[in-house]
Amino acid sequence: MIEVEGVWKQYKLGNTVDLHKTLRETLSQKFRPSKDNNTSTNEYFWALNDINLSIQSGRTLGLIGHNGAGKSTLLKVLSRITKPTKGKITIHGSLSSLLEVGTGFHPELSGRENIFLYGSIMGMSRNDIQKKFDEIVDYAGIEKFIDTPVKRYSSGMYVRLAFSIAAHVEPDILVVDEVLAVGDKSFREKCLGKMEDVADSGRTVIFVSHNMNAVASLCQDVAWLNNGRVQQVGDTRSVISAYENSLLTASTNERASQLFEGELKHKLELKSLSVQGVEGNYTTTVKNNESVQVEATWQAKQQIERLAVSLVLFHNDTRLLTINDVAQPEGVKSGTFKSQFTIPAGLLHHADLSLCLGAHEKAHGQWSWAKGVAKLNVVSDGLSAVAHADDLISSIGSGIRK
Amino acid sequence: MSNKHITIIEPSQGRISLGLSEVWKFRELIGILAMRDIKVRYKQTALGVAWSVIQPLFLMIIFSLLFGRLAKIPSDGVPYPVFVFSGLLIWNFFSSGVTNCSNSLVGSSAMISKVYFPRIAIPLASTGVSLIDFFIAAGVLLIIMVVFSVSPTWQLVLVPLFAFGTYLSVLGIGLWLSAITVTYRDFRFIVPFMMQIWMYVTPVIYPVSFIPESFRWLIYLNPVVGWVSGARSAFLGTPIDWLACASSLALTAVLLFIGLRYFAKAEQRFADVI
Repeated sequence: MIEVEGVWKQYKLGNTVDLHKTLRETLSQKFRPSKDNNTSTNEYFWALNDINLSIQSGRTLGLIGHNGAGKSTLLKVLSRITKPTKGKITIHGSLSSLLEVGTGFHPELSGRENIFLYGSIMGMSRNDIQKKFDEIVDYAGIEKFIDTPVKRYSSGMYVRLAFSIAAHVEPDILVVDEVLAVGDKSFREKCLGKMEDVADSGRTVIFVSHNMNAVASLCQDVAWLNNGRVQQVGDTRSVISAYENSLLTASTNERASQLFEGELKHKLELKSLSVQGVEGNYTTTVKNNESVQVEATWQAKQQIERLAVSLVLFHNDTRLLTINDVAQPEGVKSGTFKSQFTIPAGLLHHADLSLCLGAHEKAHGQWSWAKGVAKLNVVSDGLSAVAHADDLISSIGSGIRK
Repeated sequence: MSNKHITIIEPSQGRISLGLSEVWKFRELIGILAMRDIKVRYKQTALGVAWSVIQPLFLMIIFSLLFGRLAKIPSDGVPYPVFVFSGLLIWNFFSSGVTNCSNSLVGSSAMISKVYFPRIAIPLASTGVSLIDFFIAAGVLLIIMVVFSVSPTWQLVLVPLFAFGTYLSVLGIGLWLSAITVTYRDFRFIVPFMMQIWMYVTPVIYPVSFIPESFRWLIYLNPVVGWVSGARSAFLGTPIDWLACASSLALTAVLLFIGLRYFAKAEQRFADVI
């Protein structure tokens, strides 16, 4: 059981910029008359703002909310990485957290050595690791490479091994941040399956995700955080729908930049999105016999080598098609640039589509994406009578009867 | 499942504690982290662990030529190469220990901001490499003593005592530096520089007797003098300066207290600052 009572967490603003104070600054502050000391309160902000939550043993709680809502801060406080500024948390049972896959892996060490290293970082004893060693290796599917340095692993193998170790820690309470975003689809499903097993075995799970389907299928309760506060907490379905409704009211550009996340986030910012030349519309209705223009405006915060931006169309959760802005990844300079995409006329028949923007930096293999940035409602004008009314794609094949 | 286990998370109000029971629980992690550094250290080097022997050996040769032959610095009646190597043995242990320790937290920023464990595990583990180097170099010193036919006396059994004293002073200074480097990165530049100067004010390449009587009290303010001179005497069988050892012990105890206290206090904000 976890009891969170009136927890506040304060951070200094601009933390990312002047992370490392220099001696000179501190010394000069010390020797200056403390005239401007009182004004400094404005430079702080509350990442968590009076959080109260009670999580019963054996429940799975989903944490949702847009970027900067305080989800990750709450996880960090829960997992004792950082202390709250005010308030109290009582945790019954052992807790282990998976905030990032593979933290502490050493590239020079072999898979075997890293299992012991990462396992003990996650709080397992040498004996526990020894006992579960075969299971871990088996689950990750890396038997053949167990004595190879992990720097020679493919990124998929690396992530599988790290997740496999973390999944075998078996704490009473498991805290998982959006780690399922990495890896391929089958791996993500495997992770979700493993987390369901953990939840089914009577453990408590706290799960942060932007993927509402994953949250809906895994969690019994959901807490929606907004600006460091608990906006709503309750049963999964009602909280998710309240959250999604609130998203509809925010402007598309604001939403788009909030939704954009991943490894490239500090290099690239999604500024605005327009569909059919109209900016800021969430849902755009188009006819099936007209082509659709989608334009995204980006701000590159630094020069990025070999970048490709793609538009991906989803129907429910099925990937329908991907369109890239460049045929091969190309470099962009620091500054703004636009990616234009055209969905050809007559391709889509009749569908509700969700637009996703992805950015991929080939040089470092880094990804970022914004899922569900806008909706496209394709309506059939009834002319293509050959297609079935339920078809997503226009009838473009041909058949002959003999 | 240990459901009886209850954790309470609260802001620390003035109380500071190192959570020694937690450190004990994570003792395996300290060992594994130390092993990681040791294993990784000579990966992809052609000479591998031989570097632990080559480095002090070359220093010994250079110092013997410069200070022994050219400057004719006295060495208490022992061949200068043996004399200087026995000094460098403890000095290198101290200086590499402190340097590794002070850089250790900053070098593990990813772990500190993503995983929970007692933070002190990182600086503690970082001294493992220096310990291994010390053992190797101690073996080399015994061989050098045979070569120069300096025979050890019963005092040799005291060597671990002085090595342990050195280790405590490494922790005292290293823990403090590691914590302060998290906030002030200036110390990444200060520490190597400081170590160079410190070596010359410590009787490493010259004997204590080389310092004029009237200034000798100054040297007792240096917390490593007792360990360097003590270990040297223990190896070479020369008379041990117990006064220097006593003052080093007192200073080390103070440093260790200050270091641990500062670390425990600073530890609270590592994840936010690093």
